[in-house]
Amino acid sequence: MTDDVFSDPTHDVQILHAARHGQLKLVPDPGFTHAAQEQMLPVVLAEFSQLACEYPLVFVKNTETGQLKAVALTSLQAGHNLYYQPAGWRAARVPQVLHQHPFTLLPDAAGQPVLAALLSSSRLSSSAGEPLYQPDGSASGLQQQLLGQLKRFLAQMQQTQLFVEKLSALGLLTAQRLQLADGQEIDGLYLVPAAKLSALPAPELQQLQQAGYLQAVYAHLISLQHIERLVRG
Amino acid sequence: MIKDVIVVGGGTAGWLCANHLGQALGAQGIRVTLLESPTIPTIGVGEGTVPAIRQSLRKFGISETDFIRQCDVTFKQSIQFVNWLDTTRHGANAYHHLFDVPLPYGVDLTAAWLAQRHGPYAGFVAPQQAVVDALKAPKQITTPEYQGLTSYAYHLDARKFAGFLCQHATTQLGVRHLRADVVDVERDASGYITALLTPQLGRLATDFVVDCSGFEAFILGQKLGVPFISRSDSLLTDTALAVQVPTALDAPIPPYTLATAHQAGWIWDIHLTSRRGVGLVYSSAHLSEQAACEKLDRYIGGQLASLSFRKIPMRVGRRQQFWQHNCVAIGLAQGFVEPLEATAILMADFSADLLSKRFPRDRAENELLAARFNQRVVHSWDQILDFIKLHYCVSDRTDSQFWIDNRDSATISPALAARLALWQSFPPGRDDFFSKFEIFDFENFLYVLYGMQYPTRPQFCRPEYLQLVQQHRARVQQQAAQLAETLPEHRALLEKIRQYGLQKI
Repeated sequence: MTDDVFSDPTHDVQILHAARHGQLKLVPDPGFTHAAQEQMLPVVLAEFSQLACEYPLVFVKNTETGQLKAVALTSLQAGHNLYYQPAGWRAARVPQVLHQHPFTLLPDAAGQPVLAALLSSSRLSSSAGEPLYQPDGSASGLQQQLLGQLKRFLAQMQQTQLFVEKLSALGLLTAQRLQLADGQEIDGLYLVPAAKLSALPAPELQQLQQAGYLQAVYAHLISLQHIERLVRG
Repeated sequence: MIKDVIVVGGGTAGWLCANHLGQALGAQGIRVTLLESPTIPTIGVGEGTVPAIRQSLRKFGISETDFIRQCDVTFKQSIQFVNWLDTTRHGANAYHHLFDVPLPYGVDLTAAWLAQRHGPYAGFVAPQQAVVDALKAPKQITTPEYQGLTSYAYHLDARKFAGFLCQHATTQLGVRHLRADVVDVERDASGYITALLTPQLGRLATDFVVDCSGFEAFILGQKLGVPFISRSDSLLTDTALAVQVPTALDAPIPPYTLATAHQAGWIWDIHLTSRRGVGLVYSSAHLSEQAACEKLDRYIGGQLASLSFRKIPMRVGRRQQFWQHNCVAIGLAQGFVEPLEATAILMADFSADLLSKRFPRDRAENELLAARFNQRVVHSWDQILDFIKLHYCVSDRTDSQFWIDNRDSATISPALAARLALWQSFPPGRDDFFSKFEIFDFENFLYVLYGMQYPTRPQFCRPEYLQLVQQHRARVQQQAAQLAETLPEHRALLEKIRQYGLQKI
């Protein structure tokens, strides 16, 4: 199983400048149409417990870097997302990553993170929507809000990476081939086997607890029951 | 009781040994010390390995990512032998001795290949041929450390490797590192070494010594008097000219060693990330040094004048035995054979692993283990010497006296001669190898013999076998195409490993 969409370098992502993008507006899309074909959505540590109620949370390798990351699975088939439907998202909670689209942070000339956007996105328009710039060319309230939100999200992603690395370093993650009820086999998922967690020596267990990771590990374990839900479609 | 072990010598063999012993003995309360000479430089040209090295590095607890990053490592999936056959008869010729076994899905396709001899043998039996032809890596960035989609070993910078192993042994495995020259040893009445004498640190008492002092075998050879048995009657090369050639940082890196034959020997060519190690191996009885330099210069495109090269005398042969009293020789102190099949690091690693797994606790055990060790390692050495000889004596080159002399029956061991006679009638099979501990097994002989078009007569093939062969050939071709397509380019993967590292799982 692989992920590919979020790091696609061919996407037309540019740093926003008032001079060039002063007319840009954000069109709302409560249905998250951009994720209609996303089989995996990156998740952050802080949302593990909540998302575990509705999504299977698993670990996969980034095909470009080989690094492990935490994702919510939305389907067992690449290019499909069973949580998306035109009438509206089929879950009460949505991963934070969906709210970031079509924005990201890129380093400017001085290396500072600044707002950038996927200009080809249908969420951006020069006519309809909420403006990103005020008439005088300064950032709108919306833009300031987006910038703050992205910075917090990025920090949470980094925190989540430490969590995944810790699980890996403790030898808790194991590549698993899932044999589904219908005979289908799913490859490339990394899970924490409950037996390994139980067998973890007390000092390591305490490290997990003190770092605030233990709850997320349990959330991951509980969330796996939703895989059967994906089988049913 | 043996409580204190000293490894003498700080080259690749010494540090490999220190890691094996530190890993195995540290927990048993045996102190391992490596004594490195501050005055003798290491040889530092052994840069090729075989896949078994992966098991050792993993056993030591080394991260493959760290190793690749710190030792300028490239992946090695094969040795390509160029022009080992008569070019007037075969044209420019080359074949691969691949690391993947030539038994796809457990079936030996050799008899079917012999019936037709269509295309190269390696490509007939192994998908890996397509991978090396496409200059692809043996794995993806998502493949865990030490695992591959094809079998692989490494090319490495020998000096950096010794330093890397030193760092690991001393910081992770509790090995003590001292610097002093051993000038003499003290022995007890039964000949066992009781202390090493050094000008810098005085007398160092010890219970057990591992001699990794290199060619001269200072302790086993000079102090304990174990004789050297020359094999120059069989293997005719005796000199190497070694040079390092810088390469462009974006040039493709062959994922294999090149071994190109010339009129009086051959040339090794090993690509690391930013340089090639090239060495011309020759017989000084058949080629003058002047002519050898000219050949090397031609091979590297006329750059020799601007680079410094080293002349390395090669004394082919081995010590009569490797474990005498409480001293074991490992590395070049055991013996030397030209690096045609990357056997230097292989034998050091194999011997050190063997020693570490069966290490004596007292003298009674020492006697028992010494006999076993000598038997096994002597057998391995003689197998290696024969396997190297095989490359020369099945060649049909007649362009120089060197190649003609190499086929003189007086230069071929009776064991090898008997095998070659047998293999005229039948291809090598598992039954031709009686020991389970062959360093080179029949799979290796298959690649070399049929890479060199050895004239084994066609075999009788049952229709059921041919049908099975057809299915397996289709799978080989399909897998070859898929691997060559999906595996990353060699340098691109190394670059990614530098950037992101490999995962442990």
